[in-house]
Amino acid sequence: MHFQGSPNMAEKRVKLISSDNDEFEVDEAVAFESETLRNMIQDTGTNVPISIPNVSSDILAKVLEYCSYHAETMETHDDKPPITDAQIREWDADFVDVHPATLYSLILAANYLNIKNLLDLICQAVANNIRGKTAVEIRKILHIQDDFTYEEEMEIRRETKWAFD
Amino acid sequence: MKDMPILAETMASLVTSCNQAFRSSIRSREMDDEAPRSKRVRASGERAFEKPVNDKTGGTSSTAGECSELDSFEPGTPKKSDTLVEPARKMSGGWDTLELCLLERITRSLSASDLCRLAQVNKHYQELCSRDTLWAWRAAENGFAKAVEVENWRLNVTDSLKAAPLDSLTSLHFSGDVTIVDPFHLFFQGKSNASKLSELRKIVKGFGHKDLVLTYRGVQSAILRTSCIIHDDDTAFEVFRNGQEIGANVTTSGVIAVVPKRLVLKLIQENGGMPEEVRGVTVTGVDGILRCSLDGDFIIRHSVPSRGTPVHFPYTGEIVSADIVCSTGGSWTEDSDSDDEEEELTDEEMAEAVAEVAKITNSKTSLQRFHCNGEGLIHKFTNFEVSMLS
Repeated sequence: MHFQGSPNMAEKRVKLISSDNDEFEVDEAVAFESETLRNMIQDTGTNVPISIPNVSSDILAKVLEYCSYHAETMETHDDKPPITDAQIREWDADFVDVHPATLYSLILAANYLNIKNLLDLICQAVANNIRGKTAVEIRKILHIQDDFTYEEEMEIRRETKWAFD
Repeated sequence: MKDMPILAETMASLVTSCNQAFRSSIRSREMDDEAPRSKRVRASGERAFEKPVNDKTGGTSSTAGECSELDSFEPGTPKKSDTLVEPARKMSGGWDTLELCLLERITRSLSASDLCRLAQVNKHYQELCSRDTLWAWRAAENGFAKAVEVENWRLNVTDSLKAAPLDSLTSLHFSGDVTIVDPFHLFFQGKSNASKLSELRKIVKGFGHKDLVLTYRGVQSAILRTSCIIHDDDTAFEVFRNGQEIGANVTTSGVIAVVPKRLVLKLIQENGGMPEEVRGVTVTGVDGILRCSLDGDFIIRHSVPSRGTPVHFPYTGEIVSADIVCSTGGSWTEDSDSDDEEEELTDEEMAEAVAEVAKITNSKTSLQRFHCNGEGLIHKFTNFEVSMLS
């Protein structure tokens, strides 16, 4: 275990290095939102910068924005009213209101960093994007290419016909 | 309620299937793993590939995330498949190669018809939607029991035998003839239906033995648990008419159901004739709404308020007019009627074709009979005819 300065958890800082070598410094409590980082920190302490080689700077910044906000919602301040659930939901909704390509990078980052709430949030956002949409619309939204032959497409349409009656 | 065995089983099979998927498609998974890196390459110049990698970090990472078992992430280590997958990905943001395991997570809140549309997107999504685990999980979550005898859950979700808890807001309307019967025997006759029976049993157990609404191919009925322990096969309901037994146990499963007669006929037809063991009571000419007490007692409230028999309904404290009141041995049933009253009513009922359904809390111990009329008591079918099913 490493103890630097004050034993107060909130003052411990953690250095993170993204895939493109940018360095991020956050409170330990923020990093602890990620199970993966929590495990690493418990293994190696906070002295050593932690390399996150498969998350790029822009995505890591976004993820840390999420973690910071949610770590903050856990804190209680005497001078400020607590953040309500409705406020958190609103913040979350804004957070995932991004391009599907960004959501894709976020989903991989959240999975790798094991931030369950973020992963759930993104999965829900993607589900909301594709709910009630036709296959053509879904392809458009997620930029997916159709790789069926005409015959295959007819076959699968027949199989799933009941859904469209 | 959620940590019921059926879910645990489903999760276990999900993991198994994930493992199988992993073995059978290592190649496609490599493609998945590569997706973020090549994407970065496009986004931020040629940087990501050459980065020196801390092996230890990579090792730790493999324990992270739900998909860890499948996730052969070795960050920064370029793979052979890089050049192979790159052209295919140019058009997409990676969504056509995302791991099925993560996609499965996305689909959790989607409906069955959403899944069917998703299957038409491309082959990757077709593979996703053909995973039976995805349907089995959805079936468990939504109270689907197998209605047809095939392994594939997808067919069973679409051809539904569905159960859901009956809450105080649920109002089931019954009109015409209904049958009060043991649902397990009615629905699952014969050896070929044994697995359906076990599916439904699991669901009933999963819902904490609550009262259930059961729909079968669009026909609603209600299953009412008894207040007795469900696995006790000695639990029995008995049917009496005018104080005389007109049939043996309605149920040995500890559960009774109110079922529209057309559903009974449908089931009998599907079972190839009259099932041998079905016993029950048919009530004709019902027109009312089913309400249920916490103890599993139920009434069918007359849809015309001025008709029916006034009954104090303890679930809400209100007094309602009822077509049918049936107790399953709960708190609002006391056999306080005198024998005299019973005699009187017997004659009356005979004359008016009024009958009663009564219930024995436990056939072994205290044999309680409930009689027509009286306050807070059982069962009166005013102006209705009651007959045995078999």
